[in-house]
Amino acid sequence: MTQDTKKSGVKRREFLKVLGASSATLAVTACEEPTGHLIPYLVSPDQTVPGVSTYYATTCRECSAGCGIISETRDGRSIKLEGNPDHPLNRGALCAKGQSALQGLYNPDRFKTPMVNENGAWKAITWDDAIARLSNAVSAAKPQAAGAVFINQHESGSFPRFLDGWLASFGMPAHLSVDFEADHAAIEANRRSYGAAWPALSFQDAKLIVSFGADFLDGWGASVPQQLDFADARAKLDGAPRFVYIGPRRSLTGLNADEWLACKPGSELAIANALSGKGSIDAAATESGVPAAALQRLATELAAAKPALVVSGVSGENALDVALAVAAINQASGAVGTTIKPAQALTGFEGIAHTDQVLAAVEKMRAGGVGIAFVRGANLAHALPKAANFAEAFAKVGFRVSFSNVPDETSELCNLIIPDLHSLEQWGDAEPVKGTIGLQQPAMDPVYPTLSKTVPAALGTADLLIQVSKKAGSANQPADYRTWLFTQIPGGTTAISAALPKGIVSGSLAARTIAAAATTPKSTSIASTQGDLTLITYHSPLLGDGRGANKPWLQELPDPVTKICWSSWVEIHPETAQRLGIDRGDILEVKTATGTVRAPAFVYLGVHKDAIAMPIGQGHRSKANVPDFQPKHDDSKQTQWGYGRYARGIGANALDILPLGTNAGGGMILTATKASISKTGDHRTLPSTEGSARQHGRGIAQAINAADLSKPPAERREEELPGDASHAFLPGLRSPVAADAQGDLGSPTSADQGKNKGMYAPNEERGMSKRRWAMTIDLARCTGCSACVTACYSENNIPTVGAYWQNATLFADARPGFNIERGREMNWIRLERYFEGNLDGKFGEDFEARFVPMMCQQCGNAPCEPVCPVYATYHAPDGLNVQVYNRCVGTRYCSNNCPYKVRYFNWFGYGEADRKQYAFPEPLNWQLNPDVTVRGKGVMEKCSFCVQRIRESENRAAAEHREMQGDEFTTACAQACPSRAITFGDAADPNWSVTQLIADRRAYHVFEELNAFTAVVYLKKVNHPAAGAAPARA
Amino acid sequence: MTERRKWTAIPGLLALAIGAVMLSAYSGASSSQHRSPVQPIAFPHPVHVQKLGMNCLYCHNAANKSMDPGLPAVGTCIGCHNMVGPERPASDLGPKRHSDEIAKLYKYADVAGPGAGMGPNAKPIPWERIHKVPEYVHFPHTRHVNAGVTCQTCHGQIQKMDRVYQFASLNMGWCVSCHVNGYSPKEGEEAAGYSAAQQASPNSGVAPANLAIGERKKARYDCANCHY
Amino acid sequence: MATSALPSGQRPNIPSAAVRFPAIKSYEQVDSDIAGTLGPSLGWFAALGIAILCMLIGATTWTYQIHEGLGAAGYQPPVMWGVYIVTFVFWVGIGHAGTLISAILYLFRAGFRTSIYRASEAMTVFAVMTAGLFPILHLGRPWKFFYLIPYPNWRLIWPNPKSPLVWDVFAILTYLTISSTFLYIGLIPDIAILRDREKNPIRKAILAQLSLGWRNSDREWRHFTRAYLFLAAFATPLVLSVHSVVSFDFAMALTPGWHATIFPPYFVAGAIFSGIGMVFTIAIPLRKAFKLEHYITLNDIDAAAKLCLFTSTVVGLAYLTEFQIAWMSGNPFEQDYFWNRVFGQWAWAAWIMLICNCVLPLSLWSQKLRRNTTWLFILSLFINLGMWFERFVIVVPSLSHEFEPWQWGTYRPTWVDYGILLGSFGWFFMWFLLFIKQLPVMAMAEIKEVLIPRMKHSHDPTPDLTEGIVHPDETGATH
Repeated sequence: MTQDTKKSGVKRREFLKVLGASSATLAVTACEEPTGHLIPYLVSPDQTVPGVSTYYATTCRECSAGCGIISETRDGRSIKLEGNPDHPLNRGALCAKGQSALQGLYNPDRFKTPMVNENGAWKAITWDDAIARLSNAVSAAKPQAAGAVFINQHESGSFPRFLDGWLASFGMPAHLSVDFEADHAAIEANRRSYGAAWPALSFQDAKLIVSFGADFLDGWGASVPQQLDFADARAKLDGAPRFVYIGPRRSLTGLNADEWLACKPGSELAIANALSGKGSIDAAATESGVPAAALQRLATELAAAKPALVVSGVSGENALDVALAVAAINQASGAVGTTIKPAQALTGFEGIAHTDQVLAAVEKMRAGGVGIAFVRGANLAHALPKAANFAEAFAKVGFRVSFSNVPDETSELCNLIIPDLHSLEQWGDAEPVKGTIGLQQPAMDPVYPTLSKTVPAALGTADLLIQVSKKAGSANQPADYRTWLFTQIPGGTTAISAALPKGIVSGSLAARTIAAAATTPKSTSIASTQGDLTLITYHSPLLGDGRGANKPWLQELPDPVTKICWSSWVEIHPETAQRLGIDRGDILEVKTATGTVRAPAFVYLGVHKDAIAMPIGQGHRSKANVPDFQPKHDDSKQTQWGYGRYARGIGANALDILPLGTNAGGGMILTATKASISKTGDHRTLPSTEGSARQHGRGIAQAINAADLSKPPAERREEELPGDASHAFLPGLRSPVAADAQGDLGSPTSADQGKNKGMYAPNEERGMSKRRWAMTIDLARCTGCSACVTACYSENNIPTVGAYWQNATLFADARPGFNIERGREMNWIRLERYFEGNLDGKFGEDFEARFVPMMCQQCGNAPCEPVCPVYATYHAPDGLNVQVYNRCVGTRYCSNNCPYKVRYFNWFGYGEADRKQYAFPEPLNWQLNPDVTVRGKGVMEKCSFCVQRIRESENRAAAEHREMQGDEFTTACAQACPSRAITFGDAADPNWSVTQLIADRRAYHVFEELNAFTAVVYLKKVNHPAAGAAPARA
Repeated sequence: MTERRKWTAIPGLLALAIGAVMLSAYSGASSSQHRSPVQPIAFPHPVHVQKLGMNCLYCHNAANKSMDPGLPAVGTCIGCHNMVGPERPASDLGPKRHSDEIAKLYKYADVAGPGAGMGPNAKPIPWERIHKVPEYVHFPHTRHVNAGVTCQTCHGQIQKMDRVYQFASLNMGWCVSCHVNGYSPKEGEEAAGYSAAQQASPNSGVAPANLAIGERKKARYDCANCHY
Repeated sequence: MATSALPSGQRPNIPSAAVRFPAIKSYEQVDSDIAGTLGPSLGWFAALGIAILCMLIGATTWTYQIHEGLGAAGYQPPVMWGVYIVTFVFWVGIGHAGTLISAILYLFRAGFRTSIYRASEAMTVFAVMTAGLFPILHLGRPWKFFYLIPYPNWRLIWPNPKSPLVWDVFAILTYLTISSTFLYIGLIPDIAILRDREKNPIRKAILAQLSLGWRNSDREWRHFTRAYLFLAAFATPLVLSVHSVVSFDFAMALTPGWHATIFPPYFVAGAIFSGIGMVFTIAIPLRKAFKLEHYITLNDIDAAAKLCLFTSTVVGLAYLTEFQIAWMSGNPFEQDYFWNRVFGQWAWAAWIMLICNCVLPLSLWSQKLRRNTTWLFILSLFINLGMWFERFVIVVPSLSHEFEPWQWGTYRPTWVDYGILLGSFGWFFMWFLLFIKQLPVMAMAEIKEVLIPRMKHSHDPTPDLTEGIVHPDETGATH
């Protein structure tokens, strides 16, 4: 035994090499031979079984919130990220950004080794060399150490303190912890009013929710916990709080509101004052352009609602004033302690450096007072407005070091790049909620280990800094960061090893000691700027400040509001568009004092008619002239500067035309200027997944008013729903056609449960027809955030198809999103966003948005089945409508016959490693789920209800000689959903909670009149119209 | 041959040709059955299984709990073989002999000699894969082993094979016919070379899942059982 | 007239040679005239060259498409079927006129078929050969097409008998078998004639094999006519069944615009209509080039034109009926689709279809135009275009405007689609051109049947072929 442990390093590695090979073969259909990629385990294989997943609890680092995640690791590779159910913050849910961390881990453009820029040319160097160079640079910078600048992507936990300690040991000032997506005004106001940067928001306890441009569902603060709570609030149906959204642009959060007050940009303060009684309604009405009646109604509503929850996320120059005014309203309505809970503050938002501090640092660089600068994670060259002239200032720094592991714009400006490990590869911690510490442990060994004899294989920035200190000879350095980290966490090693399975320790970390920076607002007055339209820029809910742009999942995921992907766009109101003769897709030139950008127009009801809106996040460019990425079968030697092959050259960066301004909260002013737009004459088909934004009365997304919930359902009239739907309707799960396979067992209410009926005997040990898998989707909960879509991509090896090289070779357009323009996206589950009301696009007339997650409905009487000539799609006895890839010949008849249009075809060899359209270039293919076949060219695919998960738990149950229990497992989409809208289960077994939901009074089937007997049951959305507003149409 | 016969011959030949094509298709000519590649180390199953009576699960340790049966690590080999070296003195196990194969193993594992542990330059043994179903087929070993399907049912008398070969065709028809017609653990144990009397058969890994001998155990055979 | 009053040697129903072919004096003339068309000419080589070039373009494009994947073509979900299926239905339709003329009209003893049936039957075979390519060609994995064929295999699985596509496989294969057999059987006596006239020993040997040792004995003739009649009877139902089956591809689906009970008759009528159109496109230039005015007389053309007019009106009725059904169904999906068909993004296609197939053929009410070969040729081109667009209007707009508004889309074919479309025409005309120079484009034996036959027992050495009534219109036949 001693022998084993002594040699386990070697033993383990070899053990896994062989296994890695044997299990990898499951994944890739294209190649005959097993792929031989070798990823050693980190933990001892004694705990792991080849081909069976191990789950590691760790912490998400994709935003400041620090949700708990669980990494599913198979044979040494992390293959899926899911929310940690035991984590107080996200309670098992995870947003699209968080799940896409995997594609940061396996990003094909990651640096494999340190790089150094010697007179303009980049060359790879060894780790030892890199450490030597860095320590030399550090000691060389000693004289002006006080001027050193370290800019770090904000993260909570112990690392910031470690970093400050290290810097101090070289006499350098504390680092700047930046997060450009953070709302500094809100944070400042919170600090002043509630004494916490980000108190927990309890939507459930609110009687009324009012948001001044605070997009708490898409990126404002900690979106996942906020969404969980918001969904729970809405799920109270008739008891749910009404939600009013005030702002010039209707974001995803705004689309979830019951009422939208489209005020002029910058007029929020007047409204806030009016509501708080400080100002007059009429004055506010005239300034904001919102009818006084609406404001009056809101004011009275607000006065009545105790407690209410009012939030402000205004991005104008008066943001802080609005936030403070709003805080006053909250205090008046007794929100503090009930709907706003400073006691359970989200500590992840403490200690974020103000943007004006960053700008000050930049100015210091420009002045030449900076001898050495470090950048880790943050990408200032892209995330700061062009007006800040970062590049020019940064160039004046003596020695520039980047710890970024991807070739982003900032690291391209550096002298030395020492790639950091990905957060899934290293130790760390976070304090997401006051009193709870989230642990971050490596889910796997590094994708690119250092391969050095002298330094550890896994060398994160922290360990690197320790090595540097050792080299520079500074005393009392910890052996490695992990050892140091364990001393920081209350309870130490014992507590940690006990807590690791759940990933959380109770207790608090020592706070970072930094002087509170005085904010020096650099205000920009919109009025003074030229142009007839106000430019609203906002951080993309998916790409953030641009961090997400190198992850194909996030590029391919349609924006929840506009449904556009692989592009940027200009949102413009129909009236304005008509006035200027602009059509959807016209390329516009947006001009401000600071510059011009070009982007296609998206005509959108939800933006103020005197404003245009542009998302931030795209427009990554490389300084060096990098040729367009050409897929090769081997790794491309060319470093993909400009944030990698998936980000470079896509769309425009709105920050290029944004004047530099910071508000009193120290945050960047995103609504800072007027702009003028002109048509360039060019036009493009938008890479959008949206066909028609209207339902044409087809009852796909149905809704009901809260008031009508108690009323008995009205008799359905002929003209309401077309066709004959007069059959006796058992909740959709029985099919006269599938009956031969299912007997009467499809129905939970059937008296014949368990009787030996149909083509297969249910009581036979085969148990073929015992079950009827089904799903309910609660539209009252669904917010349209699209986390389920990414979860599906990740679970089912769905290829992304939008990259510009993923088109045909001869005489074919090479344009990002071309395949999306052609409607060839592969999203097995898609979020349809329908607009109701305001058909003629008049400004001032409110409209409603409805989100419908649409996936294969697993019809009991499926139209796709009889038409397939080869039985590639057929009805499985457990109610699944199955697609057999290896039998499919690709007639596509099934898709023609599918009323829901949820079947997707492999137009190219997206899954074949030797094709230029290959969607998983090394090492992205390490993420592939071994339980799911990667589809080859020319076959149809679709949602399978995660059949691999069904089989897995069937196998588990069989191995344990037991029956499957209720709610034993769920599908990827249901698992990820941050609003818990999706429920999956066996409709034939009352132990599964789905059976109760199917019987809900709001249950309906899409296109019920087609008698497809779908297994997906939707629960009507619940609307809360203002008193005297028009009722919702079903 | 008269004029008329000559012309009637043509359709006859045609029919024969078609028949031949169908037969070749039906015989599963594409299968790699009986393939028996040379392994880097001529691992003798008979010695380990029959002579030493080792259980399959000792090396293929995941077969009863995973899709993947699991391959022994080099370390697993060395676990015993750092005692059993290339040179064997005469003992009750047999006369003195020299084994090139164990020598090869030592080379792979970078083992200096008996008693020594694995060195830093150990390499995995590049075994030739024999039994392989296509990537779009999901074959859970655990389901089969726990249902009392003995290894020999699919892999043949592997305990007797000096050089392993592909015993079954692994064609879909071969799988389906067993799933439809059912499988009797009794047969399996006979296949494993054990008399029906012996209940818990060491070779089949686990005892047949509470089944009366002779009862045929059927399995699901719809496509999505294996193809997804 | 009373059959008893017929002059000796004349058979009922078939008008005398004088009426049918006044300009034909003797059997020898028939042989020499028709066999005379076989010598390859420069123009023929040019035409064949162009055809083969187009065919090669198509083949190359297809190879590229197989390598790259179907994405190279213009497919744009939800439009999962496009130019290929449109062209498939188009070619199958073309085929039908041939069988109608050669089989059904034979059973009805319609005299005017004699001169054009061989060409149309050949057209049928080649059209079906062309059509048969497309179902394979539009597959995502064409190399797996054999999954559709029921044969015993070690997977122990069979094709899905419920799927119209499987019915297609049977329908097309049956049709190909029957029509090619029918063509070949009909050819045997003519091949024998060529064999006897042939000088070149190799060609002679080949023709001898093909003629199955035809010796022109009474016994052979008796068997031949039996077999021919039998095959005609056998082929007749296919005219109706095959295109009905093809129409099921659409009618069996629930896509709005496809799901209609009217489809089978509607498709059959359309098929015959398009076929006649193609017959004109082929026969009229052939008649000019081969100087066959004596044989393909204006009477024959006039009769065919009437058939064309008739089928055109049937098709027109079918179009209207579709709209009426949609209107009366009260099914908003259906109504929405048909509104979109004529006024939506695909209106232009729909109007091309309506004008070419329903409006222009109305000109055939005038006998002048019916007998004006130039106009008929131009019209036939319009008909071909219109019928291609009919299938386009059925396939593409229906798919692009289905139940789910979120998935409404459009369709833009690429050069790959057009390349393969062009290739299909190249392929078809290549075969046809090869055929007309190798084998008689007109049934010599049958034409001779119309002439009064020399009976073995007849003592009259030279029957007077000019006997019979001369139709006033016939004067135009000789220029």
